[in-house]
Amino acid sequence: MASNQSNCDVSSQQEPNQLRKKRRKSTQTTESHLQNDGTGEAKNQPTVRWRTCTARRIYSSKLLEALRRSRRTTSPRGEKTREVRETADRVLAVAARGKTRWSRAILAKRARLLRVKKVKKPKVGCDRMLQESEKRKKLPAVERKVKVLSRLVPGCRKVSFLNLLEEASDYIAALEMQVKVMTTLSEILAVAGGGAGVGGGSSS
Amino acid sequence: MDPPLINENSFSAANPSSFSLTEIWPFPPSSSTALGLRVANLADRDGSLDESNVTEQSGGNRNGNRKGIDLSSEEDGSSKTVSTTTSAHDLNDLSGKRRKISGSRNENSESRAEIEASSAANNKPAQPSSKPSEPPMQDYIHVRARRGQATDSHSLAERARRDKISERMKMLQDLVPGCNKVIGKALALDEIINYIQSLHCQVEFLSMKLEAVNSRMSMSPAIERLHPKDPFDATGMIFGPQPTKDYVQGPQSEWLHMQVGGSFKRAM
Repeated sequence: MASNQSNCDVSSQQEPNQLRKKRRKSTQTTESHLQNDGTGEAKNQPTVRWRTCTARRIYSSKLLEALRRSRRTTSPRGEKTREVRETADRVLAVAARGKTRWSRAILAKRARLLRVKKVKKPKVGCDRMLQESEKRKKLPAVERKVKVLSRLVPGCRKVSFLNLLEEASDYIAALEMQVKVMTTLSEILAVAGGGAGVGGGSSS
Repeated sequence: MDPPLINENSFSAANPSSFSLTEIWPFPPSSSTALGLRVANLADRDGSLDESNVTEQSGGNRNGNRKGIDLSSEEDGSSKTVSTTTSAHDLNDLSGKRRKISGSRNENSESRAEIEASSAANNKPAQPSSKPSEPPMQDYIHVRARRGQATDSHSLAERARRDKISERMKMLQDLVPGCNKVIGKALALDEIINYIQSLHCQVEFLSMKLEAVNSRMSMSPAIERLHPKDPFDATGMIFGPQPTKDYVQGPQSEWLHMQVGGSFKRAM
Protein backbone atom coordinates (compact mmCIF):
# COMPACT_ATOMS: atom_id res chain seq x y z
CA MET A 1 0.00 0.00 0.00
CA ALA A 2 2.75 2.40 0.86
CA SER A 3 4.52 1.81 -2.43
CA ASN A 4 1.31 2.38 -4.32
CA GLN A 5 0.76 5.64 -2.60
CA SER A 6 4.29 6.83 -3.18
CA ASN A 7 4.00 5.99 -6.84
CA CYS A 8 0.77 7.88 -6.98
CA ASP A 9 2.52 10.83 -5.44
CA VAL A 10 5.30 10.79 -7.97
CA SER A 11 3.08 10.50 -10.98
CA SER A 12 0.57 12.92 -9.62
CA GLN A 13 3.15 15.54 -8.80
CA GLN A 14 4.42 15.88 -12.33
CA GLU A 15 1.08 16.26 -13.94
CA PRO A 16 -0.48 18.85 -11.65
CA ASN A 17 2.53 21.11 -12.05
CA GLN A 18 1.99 21.29 -15.76
CA LEU A 19 -1.74 21.31 -15.44
CA ARG A 20 -1.74 23.98 -12.78
CA LYS A 21 0.23 26.28 -15.03
CA LYS A 22 -2.29 25.86 -17.77
CA ARG A 23 -5.13 26.28 -15.36
CA ARG A 24 -3.62 29.39 -13.88
CA LYS A 25 -3.41 30.95 -17.30
CA SER A 26 -7.03 30.22 -18.07
CA THR A 27 -8.27 31.52 -14.75
CA GLN A 28 -6.15 34.61 -15.02
CA THR A 29 -7.52 35.47 -18.41
CA THR A 30 -11.06 35.07 -17.25
CA GLU A 31 -10.47 37.15 -14.17
CA SER A 32 -8.70 39.93 -16.00
CA HIS A 33 -11.43 39.98 -18.57
CA LEU A 34 -14.01 40.40 -15.91
CA GLN A 35 -12.14 43.03 -14.02
CA ASN A 36 -12.73 45.45 -16.82
CA ASP A 37 -16.42 45.34 -16.17
CA GLY A 38 -16.58 46.23 -12.52
CA THR A 39 -14.34 48.13 -10.23
CA GLY A 40 -12.67 45.48 -8.12
CA GLU A 41 -15.72 43.28 -8.14
CA ALA A 42 -14.22 40.65 -10.38
CA LYS A 43 -13.78 38.12 -7.63
CA ASN A 44 -17.32 38.54 -6.42
CA GLN A 45 -18.89 37.82 -9.75
CA PRO A 46 -20.56 34.45 -9.67
CA THR A 47 -18.91 33.35 -12.86
CA VAL A 48 -15.47 33.86 -11.42
CA ARG A 49 -16.31 32.54 -8.04
CA TRP A 50 -17.61 29.23 -9.21
CA ARG A 51 -15.49 28.60 -12.21
CA THR A 52 -12.06 28.66 -10.69
CA CYS A 53 -10.28 25.36 -10.49
CA THR A 54 -9.73 25.93 -6.81
CA ALA A 55 -13.45 26.02 -6.23
CA ARG A 56 -13.86 22.77 -8.13
CA ARG A 57 -11.09 21.15 -6.23
CA ILE A 58 -12.48 22.23 -2.91
CA TYR A 59 -15.93 21.03 -3.81
CA SER A 60 -14.79 17.70 -5.17
CA SER A 61 -12.64 16.97 -2.14
CA LYS A 62 -15.41 17.85 0.26
CA LEU A 63 -17.89 15.84 -1.71
CA LEU A 64 -15.65 12.82 -1.69
CA GLU A 65 -15.21 13.05 2.03
CA ALA A 66 -18.89 13.45 2.63
CA LEU A 67 -19.69 10.52 0.39
CA ARG A 68 -17.19 8.34 2.15
CA ARG A 69 -18.62 9.29 5.48
CA SER A 70 -22.16 8.64 4.37
CA ARG A 71 -21.08 5.34 2.93
CA ARG A 72 -19.70 4.22 6.24
CA THR A 73 -22.71 5.26 8.26
CA THR A 74 -25.71 3.03 7.88
CA SER A 75 -28.02 4.50 5.34
CA PRO A 76 -31.72 3.89 4.79
CA ARG A 77 -32.24 1.47 1.98
CA GLY A 78 -34.98 3.26 0.18
CA GLU A 79 -33.78 6.83 0.17
CA LYS A 80 -30.18 6.65 -0.84
CA THR A 81 -30.54 8.87 -3.85
CA ARG A 82 -32.13 11.61 -1.88
CA GLU A 83 -29.37 11.34 0.67
CA VAL A 84 -26.65 11.65 -1.93
CA ARG A 85 -28.38 14.59 -3.49
CA GLU A 86 -28.82 16.31 -0.18
CA THR A 87 -25.21 15.65 0.68
CA ALA A 88 -24.13 17.16 -2.59
CA ASP A 89 -26.32 20.22 -2.03
CA ARG A 90 -25.06 20.61 1.47
CA VAL A 91 -21.45 20.46 0.40
CA LEU A 92 -22.22 22.99 -2.29
CA ALA A 93 -23.75 25.28 0.28
CA VAL A 94 -20.69 24.90 2.46
CA ALA A 95 -18.47 25.75 -0.46
CA ALA A 96 -20.39 28.99 -0.83
CA ARG A 97 -19.03 30.04 2.56
CA GLY A 98 -22.24 31.58 3.73
CA LYS A 99 -22.17 34.58 1.47
CA THR A 100 -25.34 33.78 -0.39
CA ARG A 101 -28.86 33.43 0.80
CA TRP A 102 -29.56 30.12 -0.89
CA SER A 103 -26.55 28.47 0.71
CA ARG A 104 -27.63 29.56 4.16
CA ALA A 105 -31.13 28.34 3.43
CA ILE A 106 -29.88 24.91 2.40
CA LEU A 107 -27.84 24.56 5.55
CA ALA A 108 -30.66 25.87 7.71
CA LYS A 109 -33.03 23.35 6.17
CA ARG A 110 -30.85 20.52 7.27
CA ALA A 111 -30.33 21.97 10.75
CA ARG A 112 -34.07 22.31 11.12
CA LEU A 113 -34.63 18.75 9.95
CA LEU A 114 -32.21 17.38 12.47
CA ARG A 115 -33.87 19.19 15.31
CA VAL A 116 -37.53 18.73 14.54
CA LYS A 117 -39.23 16.36 12.23
CA LYS A 118 -40.69 18.18 9.29
CA VAL A 119 -44.46 18.41 9.39
CA LYS A 120 -45.94 19.80 6.24
CA LYS A 121 -48.72 22.18 7.13
CA PRO A 122 -51.32 22.68 4.42
CA LYS A 123 -51.06 26.12 2.99
CA VAL A 124 -53.70 28.32 4.51
CA GLY A 125 -53.50 31.01 1.91
CA CYS A 126 -53.76 28.61 -0.99
CA ASP A 127 -57.49 29.05 -1.48
CA ARG A 128 -57.19 32.77 -1.42
CA MET A 129 -54.48 32.67 -4.00
CA LEU A 130 -56.64 30.57 -6.28
CA GLN A 131 -59.55 32.95 -5.91
CA GLU A 132 -57.39 35.91 -6.66
CA SER A 133 -55.93 34.30 -9.69
CA GLU A 134 -59.39 33.58 -10.95
CA LYS A 135 -60.45 37.19 -10.53
CA ARG A 136 -57.32 38.52 -12.12
CA LYS A 137 -56.81 36.17 -14.97
CA LYS A 138 -53.41 37.49 -15.85
CA LEU A 139 -51.06 38.54 -13.19
CA PRO A 140 -48.32 40.28 -15.03
CA ALA A 141 -46.55 37.47 -16.77
CA VAL A 142 -43.23 38.51 -15.40
CA GLU A 143 -44.50 38.40 -11.85
CA ARG A 144 -45.70 34.88 -12.27
CA LYS A 145 -42.30 33.84 -13.52
CA VAL A 146 -40.63 35.63 -10.70
CA LYS A 147 -42.67 33.58 -8.27
CA VAL A 148 -41.70 30.37 -9.98
CA LEU A 149 -38.08 31.42 -9.94
CA SER A 150 -38.24 32.28 -6.28
CA ARG A 151 -39.54 28.82 -5.57
CA LEU A 152 -36.72 27.23 -7.51
CA VAL A 153 -33.93 29.02 -5.74
CA PRO A 154 -33.84 27.78 -2.16
CA GLY A 155 -34.53 30.33 0.51
CA CYS A 156 -35.60 33.07 -1.82
CA ARG A 157 -39.35 33.20 -1.52
CA LYS A 158 -39.72 36.61 0.01
CA VAL A 159 -36.72 38.25 -1.49
CA SER A 160 -36.89 41.34 -3.60
CA PHE A 161 -36.59 40.93 -7.33
CA LEU A 162 -33.21 42.54 -7.42
CA ASN A 163 -31.70 40.24 -4.83
CA LEU A 164 -33.51 37.31 -6.35
CA LEU A 165 -31.73 37.87 -9.62
CA GLU A 166 -28.41 38.05 -7.89
CA GLU A 167 -29.07 34.90 -5.90
CA ALA A 168 -30.24 33.15 -9.03
CA SER A 169 -27.09 33.96 -10.95
CA ASP A 170 -24.89 32.72 -8.13
CA TYR A 171 -27.05 29.64 -7.76
CA ILE A 172 -26.85 28.82 -11.44
CA ALA A 173 -23.09 29.15 -11.45
CA ALA A 174 -22.86 26.92 -8.38
CA LEU A 175 -25.18 24.34 -9.89
CA GLU A 176 -23.14 24.23 -13.06
CA MET A 177 -20.04 23.55 -11.07
CA GLN A 178 -21.83 20.92 -9.06
CA VAL A 179 -22.92 19.11 -12.19
CA LYS A 180 -19.45 19.16 -13.63
CA VAL A 181 -17.81 17.88 -10.49
CA MET A 182 -20.36 15.18 -9.93
CA THR A 183 -20.06 13.96 -13.49
CA THR A 184 -16.33 13.67 -13.36
CA LEU A 185 -16.39 12.17 -9.89
CA SER A 186 -18.83 9.50 -10.91
CA GLU A 187 -16.73 8.81 -13.99
CA ILE A 188 -13.55 8.53 -12.02
CA LEU A 189 -15.06 6.43 -9.29
CA ALA A 190 -16.63 4.15 -11.81
CA VAL A 191 -13.37 3.75 -13.67
CA ALA A 192 -11.42 3.42 -10.47
CA GLY A 193 -13.86 0.82 -9.23
CA GLY A 194 -13.55 -1.13 -12.42
CA GLY A 195 -9.80 -0.72 -12.59
CA ALA A 196 -9.17 -1.70 -8.99
CA GLY A 197 -11.40 -4.69 -9.38
CA VAL A 198 -9.45 -5.97 -12.34
CA GLY A 199 -5.88 -5.28 -11.32
CA GLY A 200 -5.10 -4.04 -7.83
CA GLY A 201 -1.50 -3.16 -8.50
CA SER A 202 -1.93 -1.36 -11.80
CA SER A 203 -0.61 1.91 -10.44
CA SER A 204 2.64 0.36 -9.24
CA MET B 1 -10.46 61.49 -15.03
CA ASP B 2 -12.71 64.12 -13.59
CA PRO B 3 -11.35 67.42 -15.01
CA PRO B 4 -11.78 66.65 -18.69
CA LEU B 5 -15.31 65.50 -18.16
CA ILE B 6 -16.52 68.60 -16.47
CA ASN B 7 -16.67 71.71 -18.52
CA GLU B 8 -17.51 75.15 -17.38
CA ASN B 9 -19.94 75.55 -20.23
CA SER B 10 -22.06 72.68 -19.20
CA PHE B 11 -22.85 74.06 -15.82
CA SER B 12 -26.30 75.34 -15.26
CA ALA B 13 -28.41 76.55 -12.42
CA ALA B 14 -28.47 74.36 -9.43
CA ASN B 15 -31.37 72.12 -8.98
CA PRO B 16 -32.72 71.74 -5.49
CA SER B 17 -32.54 68.01 -5.85
CA SER B 18 -28.86 68.12 -6.45
CA PHE B 19 -28.01 69.93 -3.30
CA SER B 20 -26.69 66.80 -1.75
CA LEU B 21 -24.37 66.51 -4.65
CA THR B 22 -22.85 69.92 -4.13
CA GLU B 23 -21.87 68.99 -0.67
CA ILE B 24 -19.85 66.16 -2.01
CA TRP B 25 -18.44 67.52 -5.19
CA PRO B 26 -15.94 70.36 -4.93
CA PHE B 27 -17.07 71.76 -8.24
CA PRO B 28 -19.56 74.57 -8.49
CA PRO B 29 -23.10 73.45 -7.99
CA SER B 30 -24.33 72.51 -11.33
CA SER B 31 -26.30 70.10 -13.31
CA SER B 32 -23.65 69.39 -15.80
CA THR B 33 -24.00 66.44 -17.95
CA ALA B 34 -20.42 65.66 -17.21
CA LEU B 35 -21.22 65.59 -13.55
CA GLY B 36 -24.13 63.47 -14.36
CA LEU B 37 -21.75 61.29 -16.26
CA ARG B 38 -19.41 61.05 -13.39
CA VAL B 39 -22.16 60.48 -10.93
CA ALA B 40 -23.74 57.96 -13.19
CA ASN B 41 -20.66 55.92 -12.59
CA LEU B 42 -21.52 56.00 -8.94
CA ALA B 43 -24.98 54.75 -9.61
CA ASP B 44 -24.17 51.51 -7.99
CA ARG B 45 -23.28 53.15 -4.77
CA ASP B 46 -25.90 55.78 -4.48
CA GLY B 47 -28.86 55.80 -6.72
CA SER B 48 -30.26 59.07 -5.52
CA LEU B 49 -27.16 60.99 -6.40
CA ASP B 50 -27.14 59.60 -9.83
CA GLU B 51 -30.71 60.42 -10.47
CA SER B 52 -30.43 64.00 -9.32
CA ASN B 53 -27.98 64.65 -12.07
CA VAL B 54 -29.83 62.64 -14.60
CA THR B 55 -32.85 64.83 -14.36
CA GLU B 56 -30.67 67.82 -14.83
CA GLN B 57 -29.57 66.55 -18.16
CA SER B 58 -33.13 66.05 -19.19
CA GLY B 59 -32.08 65.62 -22.70
CA GLY B 60 -33.50 63.23 -25.16
CA ASN B 61 -31.06 60.85 -23.70
CA ARG B 62 -33.69 58.82 -22.11
CA ASN B 63 -34.72 55.49 -23.27
CA GLY B 64 -38.35 54.91 -23.91
CA ASN B 65 -38.40 52.92 -20.73
CA ARG B 66 -38.65 56.10 -18.83
CA LYS B 67 -41.86 57.11 -20.48
CA GLY B 68 -43.80 59.53 -18.35
CA ILE B 69 -40.95 60.11 -16.01
CA ASP B 70 -39.12 61.93 -18.73
CA LEU B 71 -42.07 64.13 -19.32
CA SER B 72 -42.48 65.07 -15.71
CA SER B 73 -38.83 65.74 -15.27
CA GLU B 74 -38.67 67.58 -18.51
CA GLU B 75 -41.51 69.78 -17.51
CA ASP B 76 -39.70 70.56 -14.34
CA GLY B 77 -36.58 71.29 -16.20
CA SER B 78 -38.12 73.15 -19.06
CA SER B 79 -36.56 76.30 -17.80
CA LYS B 80 -33.21 74.72 -18.18
CA THR B 81 -33.63 73.49 -21.67
CA VAL B 82 -31.35 76.15 -22.97
CA SER B 83 -28.56 75.05 -20.76
CA THR B 84 -29.18 71.45 -21.53
CA THR B 85 -28.77 72.01 -25.22
CA THR B 86 -25.23 73.05 -24.65
CA SER B 87 -24.72 70.20 -22.30
CA ALA B 88 -26.10 67.84 -24.86
CA HIS B 89 -23.12 68.42 -27.07
CA ASP B 90 -20.88 67.40 -24.26
CA LEU B 91 -22.98 64.35 -23.97
CA ASN B 92 -22.27 63.54 -27.54
CA ASP B 93 -18.57 63.69 -26.91
CA LEU B 94 -18.66 61.88 -23.66
CA SER B 95 -21.05 59.19 -24.68
CA GLY B 96 -18.21 57.03 -25.80
CA LYS B 97 -16.63 57.02 -22.40
CA ARG B 98 -19.76 56.03 -20.59
CA ARG B 99 -20.15 52.86 -18.75
CA LYS B 100 -22.85 50.43 -19.65
CA ILE B 101 -25.28 51.68 -17.06
CA SER B 102 -25.21 55.28 -18.07
CA GLY B 103 -24.48 54.43 -21.65
CA SER B 104 -27.85 52.97 -22.26
CA ARG B 105 -29.36 56.22 -21.15
CA ASN B 106 -27.30 58.46 -23.28
CA GLU B 107 -27.63 56.67 -26.53
CA ASN B 108 -30.04 59.16 -27.96
CA SER B 109 -27.93 62.16 -27.38
CA GLU B 110 -29.43 64.37 -30.03
CA SER B 111 -31.45 66.41 -27.68
CA ARG B 112 -33.28 69.51 -28.69
CA ALA B 113 -34.89 72.16 -26.64
CA GLU B 114 -38.31 70.75 -27.41
CA ILE B 115 -37.64 67.55 -25.66
CA GLU B 116 -41.19 66.52 -25.12
CA ALA B 117 -42.00 66.46 -28.76
CA SER B 118 -38.88 64.83 -29.97
CA SER B 119 -38.32 62.42 -27.16
CA ALA B 120 -40.73 60.03 -28.74
CA ALA B 121 -38.91 60.19 -32.00
CA ASN B 122 -35.46 60.09 -30.54
CA ASN B 123 -35.94 57.15 -28.34
CA LYS B 124 -34.59 54.23 -30.18
CA PRO B 125 -36.50 51.51 -28.40
CA ALA B 126 -39.90 51.87 -29.91
CA GLN B 127 -41.76 52.52 -26.75
CA PRO B 128 -44.07 55.51 -26.81
CA SER B 129 -42.84 57.92 -24.24
CA SER B 130 -46.01 59.92 -24.32
CA LYS B 131 -47.77 57.43 -22.13
CA PRO B 132 -48.31 58.51 -18.58
CA SER B 133 -46.38 56.64 -16.03
CA GLU B 134 -49.39 54.85 -14.71
CA PRO B 135 -49.60 51.69 -16.81
CA PRO B 136 -47.68 49.28 -14.73
CA MET B 137 -44.99 48.80 -17.37
CA GLN B 138 -45.51 45.15 -17.86
CA ASP B 139 -41.88 44.57 -18.56
CA TYR B 140 -40.94 45.52 -15.07
CA ILE B 141 -41.47 43.80 -11.80
CA HIS B 142 -42.72 45.81 -8.92
CA VAL B 143 -42.32 44.42 -5.53
CA ARG B 144 -43.99 47.48 -4.14
CA ALA B 145 -46.97 49.14 -5.72
CA ARG B 146 -46.07 52.13 -7.77
CA ARG B 147 -47.40 55.49 -6.78
CA GLY B 148 -47.65 58.50 -8.99
CA GLN B 149 -44.21 59.71 -9.91
CA ALA B 150 -44.66 63.31 -9.19
CA THR B 151 -41.55 63.94 -7.18
CA ASP B 152 -38.22 63.51 -8.79
CA SER B 153 -36.54 61.59 -6.04
CA HIS B 154 -38.89 58.68 -6.44
CA SER B 155 -38.46 58.47 -10.14
CA LEU B 156 -34.77 58.78 -9.73
CA ALA B 157 -34.65 55.96 -7.27
CA GLU B 158 -36.81 53.87 -9.54
CA ARG B 159 -34.57 54.53 -12.43
CA ALA B 160 -31.56 53.44 -10.42
CA ARG B 161 -33.40 50.34 -9.36
CA ARG B 162 -34.36 49.55 -12.91
CA ASP B 163 -30.81 49.90 -14.02
CA LYS B 164 -29.65 47.53 -11.37
CA ILE B 165 -32.28 45.07 -12.46
CA SER B 166 -31.25 45.28 -16.08
CA GLU B 167 -27.64 44.83 -15.14
CA ARG B 168 -28.40 41.71 -13.18
CA MET B 169 -30.60 40.39 -15.94
CA LYS B 170 -27.71 40.78 -18.32
CA MET B 171 -25.46 38.88 -15.99
CA LEU B 172 -28.00 36.10 -15.80
CA GLN B 173 -28.34 36.05 -19.54
CA ASP B 174 -24.63 35.57 -19.87
CA LEU B 175 -24.79 32.61 -17.57
CA VAL B 176 -27.66 30.87 -19.24
CA PRO B 177 -26.79 29.57 -22.69
CA GLY B 178 -29.17 30.67 -25.34
CA CYS B 179 -30.61 33.49 -23.33
CA ASN B 180 -28.74 36.14 -25.26
CA LYS B 181 -30.92 35.73 -28.28
CA VAL B 182 -34.07 36.28 -26.30
CA ILE B 183 -35.30 39.80 -25.91
CA GLY B 184 -37.55 40.79 -23.07
CA LYS B 185 -37.71 39.96 -19.46
CA ALA B 186 -40.49 37.42 -19.58
CA LEU B 187 -38.86 35.20 -22.15
CA ALA B 188 -35.47 35.54 -20.55
CA LEU B 189 -36.95 34.54 -17.21
CA ASP B 190 -38.53 31.58 -18.96
CA GLU B 191 -35.17 30.46 -20.16
CA ILE B 192 -33.62 30.92 -16.77
CA ILE B 193 -36.32 28.90 -15.09
CA ASN B 194 -35.98 26.11 -17.61
CA TYR B 195 -32.27 26.10 -17.17
CA ILE B 196 -32.44 25.86 -13.40
CA GLN B 197 -34.95 23.05 -13.65
CA SER B 198 -32.73 21.19 -16.07
CA LEU B 199 -29.77 21.66 -13.77
CA HIS B 200 -31.80 20.27 -10.90
CA CYS B 201 -32.68 17.25 -13.01
CA GLN B 202 -29.07 16.71 -13.88
CA VAL B 203 -28.07 16.87 -10.25
CA GLU B 204 -30.70 14.31 -9.37
CA PHE B 205 -29.58 12.06 -12.15
CA LEU B 206 -25.95 12.38 -11.17
CA SER B 207 -26.73 11.69 -7.55
CA MET B 208 -28.41 8.46 -8.61
CA LYS B 209 -25.34 7.58 -10.58
CA LEU B 210 -23.05 8.44 -7.72
CA GLU B 211 -25.12 6.37 -5.38
CA ALA B 212 -24.80 3.40 -7.69
CA VAL B 213 -21.06 3.89 -7.88
CA ASN B 214 -20.87 4.30 -4.14
CA SER B 215 -22.70 1.12 -3.39
CA ARG B 216 -20.52 -0.75 -5.82
CA MET B 217 -17.43 0.71 -4.26
CA SER B 218 -18.46 -0.13 -0.76
CA MET B 219 -18.79 -3.74 -1.83
CA SER B 220 -15.21 -4.12 -2.99
CA PRO B 221 -12.86 -2.97 -0.24
CA ALA B 222 -9.92 -2.65 -2.61
CA ILE B 223 -11.24 0.64 -3.90
CA GLU B 224 -10.98 2.25 -0.52
CA ARG B 225 -7.35 2.69 -1.26
CA LEU B 226 -8.17 5.40 -3.74
CA HIS B 227 -5.68 8.13 -3.11
CA PRO B 228 -7.42 11.37 -2.21
CA LYS B 229 -5.24 13.35 -4.55
CA ASP B 230 -5.98 11.34 -7.63
CA PRO B 231 -9.48 12.58 -8.30
CA PHE B 232 -8.27 16.17 -8.20
CA ASP B 233 -5.53 15.70 -10.70
CA ALA B 234 -7.76 13.61 -12.84
CA THR B 235 -10.47 16.20 -12.53
CA GLY B 236 -7.92 18.78 -13.48
CA MET B 237 -7.05 16.83 -16.55
CA ILE B 238 -10.64 16.42 -17.51
CA PHE B 239 -11.65 19.94 -16.62
CA GLY B 240 -8.73 21.62 -18.26
CA PRO B 241 -9.31 21.07 -21.93
CA GLN B 242 -13.06 21.31 -21.70
CA PRO B 243 -14.63 24.66 -22.43
CA THR B 244 -16.55 25.76 -19.43
CA LYS B 245 -19.58 27.19 -21.09
CA ASP B 246 -20.51 24.58 -23.56
CA TYR B 247 -20.67 21.90 -20.97
CA VAL B 248 -24.24 21.92 -19.84
CA GLN B 249 -26.28 21.61 -22.96
CA GLY B 250 -28.64 19.26 -24.66
CA PRO B 251 -26.24 16.85 -26.33
CA GLN B 252 -24.37 16.48 -23.07
CA SER B 253 -27.33 14.83 -21.44
CA GLU B 254 -27.27 12.18 -24.12
CA TRP B 255 -23.60 11.67 -23.43
CA LEU B 256 -24.43 11.27 -19.77
CA HIS B 257 -27.05 8.70 -20.61
CA MET B 258 -24.47 6.75 -22.53
CA GLN B 259 -22.13 6.92 -19.61
CA VAL B 260 -24.76 5.66 -17.25
CA GLY B 261 -25.51 2.81 -19.56
CA GLY B 262 -21.86 1.91 -19.55
CA SER B 263 -21.50 2.04 -15.80
CA PHE B 264 -24.62 0.03 -15.25
CA LYS B 265 -23.26 -2.66 -17.47
CA ARG B 266 -20.10 -2.71 -15.49
CA ALA B 267 -21.96 -2.82 -12.23
CA MET B 268 -24.03 -5.75 -13.34
